[in-house]
Amino acid sequence: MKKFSLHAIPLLTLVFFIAIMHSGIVLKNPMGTEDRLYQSVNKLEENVKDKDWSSAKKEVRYIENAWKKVVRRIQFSVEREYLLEISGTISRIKGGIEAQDDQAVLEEIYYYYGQWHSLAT
Amino acid sequence: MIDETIVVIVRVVISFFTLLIFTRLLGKQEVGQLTFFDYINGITIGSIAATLATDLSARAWTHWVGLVGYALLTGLLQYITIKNRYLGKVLDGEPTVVIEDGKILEKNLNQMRVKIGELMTLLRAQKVFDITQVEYAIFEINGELSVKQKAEYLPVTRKDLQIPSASSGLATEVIQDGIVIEQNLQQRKKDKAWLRQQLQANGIEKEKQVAYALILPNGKLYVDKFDDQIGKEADMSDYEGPY
Repeated sequence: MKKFSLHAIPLLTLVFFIAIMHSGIVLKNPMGTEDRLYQSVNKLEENVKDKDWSSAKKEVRYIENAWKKVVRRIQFSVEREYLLEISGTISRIKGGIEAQDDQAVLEEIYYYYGQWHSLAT
Repeated sequence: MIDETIVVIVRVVISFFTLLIFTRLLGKQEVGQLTFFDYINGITIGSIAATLATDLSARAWTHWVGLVGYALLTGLLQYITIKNRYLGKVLDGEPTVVIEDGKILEKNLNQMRVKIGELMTLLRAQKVFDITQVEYAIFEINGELSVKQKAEYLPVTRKDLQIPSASSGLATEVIQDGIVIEQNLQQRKKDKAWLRQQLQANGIEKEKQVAYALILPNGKLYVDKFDDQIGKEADMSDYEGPY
């Protein structure tokens, strides 16, 4: 038993570390009703295309809060700069909505899609 | 947004234990036995581990792969040098004679990239101040100099003087920090009753009063108590303190 533990404990520790370092790919997905980030950006895209700015404002607030929740989970497996870059994109989307500039917002939304797909991969 | 303190703490744990696991796997070579390459390699592995812990601008995984890569390659080279004598010589180098019969072998010295001044320093460190006393001096792969002095300059031994000597054997620890090590007592075919009797003969009532106790090779018990009862005569400090 002692000999087994001697090999199993270091091996399991390394496996656990690898799992933490790759956890982002699973943990970026929604775990409740308040962190449905990707679906919310999809909804925002529709709002912007329909020029429904009041719904877009609500949606972007939801996105901001959802992103904070997701960051807490994925921060151990993703580099800080990448997280800050996505935060910047969300801020620019918010600014575009305030300015009711649908072209700028759509550009940022599609930039965000690209960032999301590369996040924690 | 990102909680840097928590992220660094988690990364420190990952880095620390990964380093611990891999250094244990890589064997028990002492620092003094390391070759120049081993030394540089060790520094590189340490540097990657430190970056893994504190550089949040890159993913932990990339640093971790770098760390594991270095550790695996080091292990692979260790295996090759053990299994293949020729490759072992190519990778680690081999000991080189640099002084023979008091004469410096400059060609070998240049091959080892060692200056004559450095050689003399190493010689003096081996307590040899007269190069003519040297029969052989060998530069080892870990950078140390092994010196064989000529027979006429070697100290006299008990054998030379035909003085009989008995094997001294090893001492065995039986108490450490007040805790009796029963396994060691059994090895020396003693029991707790014997130990208690010996302690009482030394004026000690309980094992807990003992910091360290050994059964000496001659079978006698050496005891060091926590209460040393030493006066200020041995206090070497020349300041009041505290510091």
